[in-house]
Amino acid sequence: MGENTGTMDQLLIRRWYNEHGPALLMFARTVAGDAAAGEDAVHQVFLRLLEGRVSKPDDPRPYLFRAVRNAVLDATRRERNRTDLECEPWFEPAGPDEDRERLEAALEELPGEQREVVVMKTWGELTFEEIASLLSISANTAASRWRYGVEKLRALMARSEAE
Amino acid sequence: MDDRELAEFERDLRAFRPRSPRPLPLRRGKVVLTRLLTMLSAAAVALLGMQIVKRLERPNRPSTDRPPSVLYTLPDAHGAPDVSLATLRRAAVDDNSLTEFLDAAAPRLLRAVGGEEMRIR
Repeated sequence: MGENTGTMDQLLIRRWYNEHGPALLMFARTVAGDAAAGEDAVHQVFLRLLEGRVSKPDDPRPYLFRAVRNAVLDATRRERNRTDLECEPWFEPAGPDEDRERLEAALEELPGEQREVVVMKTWGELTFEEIASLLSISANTAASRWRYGVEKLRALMARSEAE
Repeated sequence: MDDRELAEFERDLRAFRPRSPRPLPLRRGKVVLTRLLTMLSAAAVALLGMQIVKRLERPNRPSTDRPPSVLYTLPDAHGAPDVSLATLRRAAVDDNSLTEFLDAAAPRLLRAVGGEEMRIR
């Protein structure tokens, strides 16, 4: 790879970071159950790309989600005793704080397998086929998990609002 | 919840923007230094190779008496050369001026890091 090509790749990877970073961080946190561990995994994936330790994917979005998931699972295996310091917000501070906190609390109550599909589909904008391939499940199962997850999310938020 | 309600609720959810990760912890100094050393090493190896070829071609003539057979240039894209033509010629004909040439070329090599590869012709 020439020097100019390398620079272009770096610019492209940085664009991916800005474009997909927020959804990837949310997804990583969902899988890791810990904001700091999730962020470490996202950084690890992008640093590997920037340093040329892995080749640049043709279709970045599914690749990035898969790589982040693997990085989280590898780190989880290595650091089983890591303390969960859940003090970072999930979302940018826009809109009413109560709505955001209600959504964050509802997301944390979702079963893990539904939460990761909801995050990948809704914020990561992956298709059910891409999610299915990433999780080694069928597209129908991915769609069902998303539907149950979103319905439960709405019910939890409505219940929280009524209380 | 029917499909329309699901789609509407998903739109509402997307209105919440996930927090951005912190900037990547890049070790820029180390990367730049590594590249610079790589460039300088490649340049030195190439120049030494050319010197050896020249010597093999004309083994019995004093080097200062003959015109330069090889000219070293650096990329045009980086502006006017910092290395004088005289220095380049000396580097081409005189083994002893190789160090001088590398010293004079260093600022240009530094600018070439992250840009074009150095060309030697």
